[in-house]
Amino acid sequence: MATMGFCDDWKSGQSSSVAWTEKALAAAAADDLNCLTLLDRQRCQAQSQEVEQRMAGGFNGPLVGLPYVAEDAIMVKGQISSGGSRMLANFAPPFGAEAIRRLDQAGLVLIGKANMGELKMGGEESSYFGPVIHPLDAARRCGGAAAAVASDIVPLALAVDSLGEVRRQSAQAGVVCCKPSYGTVSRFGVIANVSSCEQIATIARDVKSAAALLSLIAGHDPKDGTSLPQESYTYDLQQQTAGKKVAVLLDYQTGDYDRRCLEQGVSLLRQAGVEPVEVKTRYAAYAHLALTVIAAAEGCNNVSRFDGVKYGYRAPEYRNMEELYCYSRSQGLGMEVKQEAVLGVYVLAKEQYQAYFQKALQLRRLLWQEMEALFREYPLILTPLAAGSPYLAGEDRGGKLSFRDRFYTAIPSLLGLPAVAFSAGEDETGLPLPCQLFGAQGQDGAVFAAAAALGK
Amino acid sequence: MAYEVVMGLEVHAELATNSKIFCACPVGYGAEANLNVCPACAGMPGLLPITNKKVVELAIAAGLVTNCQISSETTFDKKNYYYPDLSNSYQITQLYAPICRDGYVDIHTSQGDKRIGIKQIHMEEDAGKLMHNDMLGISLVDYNRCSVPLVEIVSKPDFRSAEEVIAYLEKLRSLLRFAGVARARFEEGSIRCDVNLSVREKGDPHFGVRTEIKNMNSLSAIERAIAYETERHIDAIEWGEPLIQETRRWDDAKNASFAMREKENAGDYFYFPDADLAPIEISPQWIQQVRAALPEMPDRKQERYVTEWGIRAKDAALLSHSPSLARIFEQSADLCGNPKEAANWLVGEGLALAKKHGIAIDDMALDPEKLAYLIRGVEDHTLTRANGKKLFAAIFSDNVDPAAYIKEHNLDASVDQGALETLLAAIVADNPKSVADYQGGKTKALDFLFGQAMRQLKGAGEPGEIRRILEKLLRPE
Ligand SMILES: [Zn+2]
Repeated sequence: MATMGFCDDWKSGQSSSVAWTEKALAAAAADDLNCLTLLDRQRCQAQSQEVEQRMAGGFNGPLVGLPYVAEDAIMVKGQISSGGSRMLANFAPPFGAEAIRRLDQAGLVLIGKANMGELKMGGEESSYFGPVIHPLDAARRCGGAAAAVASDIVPLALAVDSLGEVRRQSAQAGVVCCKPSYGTVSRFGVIANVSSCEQIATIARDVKSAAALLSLIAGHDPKDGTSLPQESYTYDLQQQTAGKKVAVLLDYQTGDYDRRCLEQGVSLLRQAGVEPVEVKTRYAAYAHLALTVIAAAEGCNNVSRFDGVKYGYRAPEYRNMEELYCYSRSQGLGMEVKQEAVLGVYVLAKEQYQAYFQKALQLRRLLWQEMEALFREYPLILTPLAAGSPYLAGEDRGGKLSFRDRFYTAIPSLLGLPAVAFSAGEDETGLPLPCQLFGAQGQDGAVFAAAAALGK
Repeated sequence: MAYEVVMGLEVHAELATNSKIFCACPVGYGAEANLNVCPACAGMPGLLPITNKKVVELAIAAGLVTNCQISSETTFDKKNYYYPDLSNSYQITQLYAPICRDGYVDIHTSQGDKRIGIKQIHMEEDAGKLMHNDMLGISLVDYNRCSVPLVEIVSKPDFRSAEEVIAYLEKLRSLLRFAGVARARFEEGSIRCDVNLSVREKGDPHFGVRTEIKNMNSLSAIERAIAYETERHIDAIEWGEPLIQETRRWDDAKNASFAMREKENAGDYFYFPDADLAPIEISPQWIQQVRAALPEMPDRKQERYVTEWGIRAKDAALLSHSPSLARIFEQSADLCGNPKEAANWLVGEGLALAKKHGIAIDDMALDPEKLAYLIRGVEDHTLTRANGKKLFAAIFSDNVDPAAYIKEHNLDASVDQGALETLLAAIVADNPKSVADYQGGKTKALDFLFGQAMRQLKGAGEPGEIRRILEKLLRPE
């Protein structure tokens, strides 16, 4: 069957969608990492049986019948889609994400929703449903979707890569994340944070499966005005990587941890017949600042619709309209979301607009030009993804560390570039050393193929 | 001291589309609350705006009829504020790259002709409506109007009198209606107006302190508000009281303007580009297509009525003012072949009846075929002018069938020529004194005989023809 060769380790010899689904359900029920915010037994059992019937009728395709989880920011019709927030903890939308619709059609089975930082604005400690425990070290934190794949609950996951946190979390959990060029996957039905940057990314044990999953959800959607016109995408992972020039950005060698990540990445490249070249850029080290300003502005605006008036959380007591707004939002939203919202209002205020938001847009343009020029010589760029090991419990409270590591993940988010995140090796405690490869817009296949050539 | 009032206008007009600007919901005036609503315009997360192409085309048309430059690329921005009738807590509008700029509208007032500059026209979405129920102590929101497409037409500060403001608004309404851009009806809120007003000493090159009177929706309210606000400014200047730059609300019932609450005057809307909407490219070809599809505009119509049809300038202005009236006029003129008569009936009878019954000119619904039938009847003397008026009124208010109405009410003035001559001869024979008077030079005697004839004919017969026959009978053999 066509599903052969995908996620084979996870399948461990089983060959029916019903069996895979039961396996995932059992693992999800035993989950002690707090990966999932919702498990929909009925929906997925019905779905797996239906898929079996379709397959009996000759239906087939890559990944058919396999279970997956979707991050809670990706909405499912009639199912609670909270985005990790108290504000939406009772919100069941009357429509679902385009990506979910496409996977329903492709015959994949949605097990449930993955835990996440609140509304993508908050870091590892910010979910209303509590933090996710790291699958490789119980003292540390992770993202729900990455942890669900890393702990083998499911072989596949969808997550919204907003500021790069999904790439970082995946690579640090030892799994692979494929983030496509901006405009590849419809954002319809995704609870928005940074509208101009975010894309649904796919997570799997290997690039081959993650890229296959991505090709199922990618393609033009008239419901998303920023969706690119291309109707469908396939990624050729066999294309030649050896002999290509890869730039290693010196801007990201700031400490022991990121240097070690890079060393590992570089040695993988050499093994694959690629000679990396060290390059210093002018603007890369500012990308995270531009991204932070734009993210705060867009995020602040995107959460302003959560006001307690129409749906979601409403304060039980209020005396007038102002109190309805203030109490609903102060009780319904967490501290890190509020921090972002305040920052957003600050950078957009008349007095600061020029100095911050305008500057951020300018920086984005300059960085775009610099990267365009760089890609003409080096089609691939290698960078580390974090300044240190996954966050210890409580360490990221207030979002300081996730802000710190945005430094490494910013460029593909800010410029909408395709990227693949993976573990380049292990430190002495056995924790993965996270790296990413990224390339020019539209070069998704070449980027994923390079990671595949590294054995990922 | 002589003062001068300086005003600029912001006019919001609802675009005449079938669906909303960023979702597929229908647009309808007077629908049941929250009927024309989908998750997108109700402000749910996960939905993305998709621009209605028709909106862009109508905005281009609005720009063309007001002589604007159309931008080759235009973008949307988000304006942020919290209010329950704004479902997303932001309004999608255009700040940085509006679709049209630098146009003008020519107006005519008692002071002569004047050109009013247009600074810009931009597209935006409307907000819903909040209804307070004081008895129950609750507020209810209706999102039907959320995301209904609007253009905001921003004038330059070129107005110096309320008369100019009214003339401009009438002209603008007429242009938008003719171009099919907007229904532009004050009474249903599909056109609204904000007035920016300041007062200065005549000759002073600097503007005075500006206040903005928001959201007025009738011409008479605008006129009263301008008078009130001008007076208030002059009083303040004369008494040396400070004027504050602020937004004010016009209360038509109290006939006064009031400062809006401080929050609504805060003034920072945290504008920034909308990342969900790609820039819209407008090619010269697209503009040309919109231009080619535009119907004849009122100025051109007025000119043509005068030069080609010989209509009086004043009547031509009235007839070309409203698209529906112009259509009735042109069609009935074509059908009866007598534009002057069509104009006389519509201006003389039509407008008077509309006024009498309190019907807006735009709502006048006269069947041009019926009007043409009436005009032809009067022309060939089968209908007297007096009976024509009766018929006109009946068509106007009850849309009667003219032939049936004439028959039913015995309005047919056609009289057999032989019978007419016999009857008149009898009258002449019965009144020898009048005949003698007339023949003796007292031409007034003819009027007496004519009166006798009219009485006996009870309105039938054509008066000119009757006089002609009488004169022939009275001529000495
Ligand atoms: Zn709608």
